[in-house]
Amino acid sequence: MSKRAAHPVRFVWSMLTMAITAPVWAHHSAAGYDLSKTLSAQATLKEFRWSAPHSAAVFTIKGPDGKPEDMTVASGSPAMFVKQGFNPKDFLIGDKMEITWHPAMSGHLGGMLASVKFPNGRVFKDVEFAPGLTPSDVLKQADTAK
Amino acid sequence: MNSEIKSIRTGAAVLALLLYAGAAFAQLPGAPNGPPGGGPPGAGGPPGADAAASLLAIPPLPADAPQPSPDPRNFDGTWYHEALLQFQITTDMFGNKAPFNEAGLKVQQRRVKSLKTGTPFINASALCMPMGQPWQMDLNMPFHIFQSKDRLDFAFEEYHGLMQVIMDPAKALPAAYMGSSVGRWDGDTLVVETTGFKDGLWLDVDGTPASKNAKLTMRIRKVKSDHWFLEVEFTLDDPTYYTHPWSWMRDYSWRPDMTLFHEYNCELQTGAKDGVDPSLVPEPQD
Amino acid sequence: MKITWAARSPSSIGWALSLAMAAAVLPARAPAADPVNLEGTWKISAPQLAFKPEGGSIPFTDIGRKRYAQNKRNLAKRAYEEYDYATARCASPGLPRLMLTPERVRIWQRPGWVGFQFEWNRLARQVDMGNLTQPQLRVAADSLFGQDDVIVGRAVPISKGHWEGDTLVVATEGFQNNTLIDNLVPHGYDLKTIERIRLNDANTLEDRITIEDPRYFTRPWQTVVTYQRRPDDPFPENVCLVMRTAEGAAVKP
Repeated sequence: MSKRAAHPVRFVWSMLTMAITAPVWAHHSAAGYDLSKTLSAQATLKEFRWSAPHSAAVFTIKGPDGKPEDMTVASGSPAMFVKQGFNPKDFLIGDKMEITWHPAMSGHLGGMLASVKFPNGRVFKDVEFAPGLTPSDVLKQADTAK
Repeated sequence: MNSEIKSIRTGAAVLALLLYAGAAFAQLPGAPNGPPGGGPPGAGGPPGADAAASLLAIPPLPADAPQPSPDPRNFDGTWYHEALLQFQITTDMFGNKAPFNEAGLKVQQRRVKSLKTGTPFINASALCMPMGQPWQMDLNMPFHIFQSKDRLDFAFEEYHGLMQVIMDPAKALPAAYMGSSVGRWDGDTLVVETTGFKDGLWLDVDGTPASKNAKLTMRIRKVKSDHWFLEVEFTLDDPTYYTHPWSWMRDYSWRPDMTLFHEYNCELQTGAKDGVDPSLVPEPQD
Repeated sequence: MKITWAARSPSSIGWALSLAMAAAVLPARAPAADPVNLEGTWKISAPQLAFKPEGGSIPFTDIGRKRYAQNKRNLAKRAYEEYDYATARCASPGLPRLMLTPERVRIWQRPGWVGFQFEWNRLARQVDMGNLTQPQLRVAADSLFGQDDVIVGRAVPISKGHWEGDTLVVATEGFQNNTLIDNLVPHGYDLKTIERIRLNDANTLEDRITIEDPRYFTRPWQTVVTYQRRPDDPFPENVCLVMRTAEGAAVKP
């Protein structure tokens, strides 16, 4: 709650972007994700779901009890991956990667994908909702992304 | 959500409010809509909203683009809600507050609160289920109207939606998530009455409610100002949640440059057993 | 309809005017310029889950044969999630599989494009006839949507069409790789199809499909599907998500 109180402007922006998806940013709302937290795990890719309204990815990670567990995260679009030099067609089921994500406020496992580090060391970052970004940062990014 | 959906969905939440609204948000000059609703009451608009609007504005229709039929009763073509999405319809078309009764206010406030607490509710949109005309026609995505003698087919890009308006009441379709729509002409205005909703509706992104008992009327006419558009007066008659019927206006620009649709294969996610967005939770039922 | 002023007598002007008005109040229909009117409501003549290849068998590559066999094993176990998203999830079956739908399909011909509206799950496909106003904003190559389509493809790509005599020739490419050709046959990103769609008679529509994917097939192969005309009745709402069984197998694409 204190985070929201401290950044009322960002909260309103989330409401706006929840409703509106621009081609250049904000495919998804951040309302249900805790942007102040970032979790990480070693993961095996199970599936990328490239579709509207928003892409998602399923990773198998080690759950809290040590057993493998599937986790669904909201993901950036294919175009966002390409902008950072990745080819979505290259992602294969079974690929191992190190992922970070902003967890769901509801407490359920999963959330919004924040970054993916591949075995070759290359990193993808979901830049839309990186913590600390202000709405004008997002707009500036959208501008340069154009 | 109704029991049918509950029994199918083993998980709770999918991408409810992850809306894919597409490009254009600037108000066209001359469009009859009032200014957009903006954020939650009291919150003010986000900074840089003007910048956002201009950033997201779609180009004007090319000068050589085809024009609609001059026949005022021919709505065939591609139409698009160009105005900035109003994610909470707080007033009617005359500026009066939406006439909630106690039950309606309770549902509406609970939904708005869920957004603030960071645990938004699942709704039809989240599940990739048909979500009713107001939501379907509000999101900034184009739709086709195929008009024939006996009916008008509205085919939407969003959620690959379909609504069929039957002109002969004797041939009305059964109850449906989009309701059952019957149309008649009042001069050059098409009056569409929709009843038989299988489930309640979210009228807007924030969850202004309608019950399954609602009767939705759309008065649709084709208008030309500096551009062609369909003007729609929505009237909701829903004694479950409102003290009296109330109306709001929308308009949809003629956009033959949006004829080819983007693909909306949402069930690829929502149809999966694990296709739940963990940030969403089931809505309490009264 | 343009009124030409070459004929000056009042009677011919009046005639031209009333023709113009008559044309205006009729509902939109297949453009007069189209050689054939394919519009109407169609239903597959012989419901089938798999395409019947002309020549008897599908010319699989080793990879194709292996995946086909794997799909058959998963079908026997009803492990639809492993290989068939459409059946498992109510996702789009994609093309050309949608042309096997046992439900009805409505064809709409409009200036610049042809639309297919499927009863099943309210899906649709579009054929771009090449002269729509440009740019088409929702699929433009430099838009984010258009980019995504190019990068990972679509289950149902936008097709490109033209008339050859009385035949609508439809070319489709730009597929995602997570659908099947029919209920079992695999394909990848490089799938290309050519359809030759025509009326065999007033009430029979034929779709002759050539399927090409060098990774899965050693050469292109063909199949034919026919449809019977049905009355132009509206489609009751069809929502796959509420129609399938708990095990997810009730969906027929």
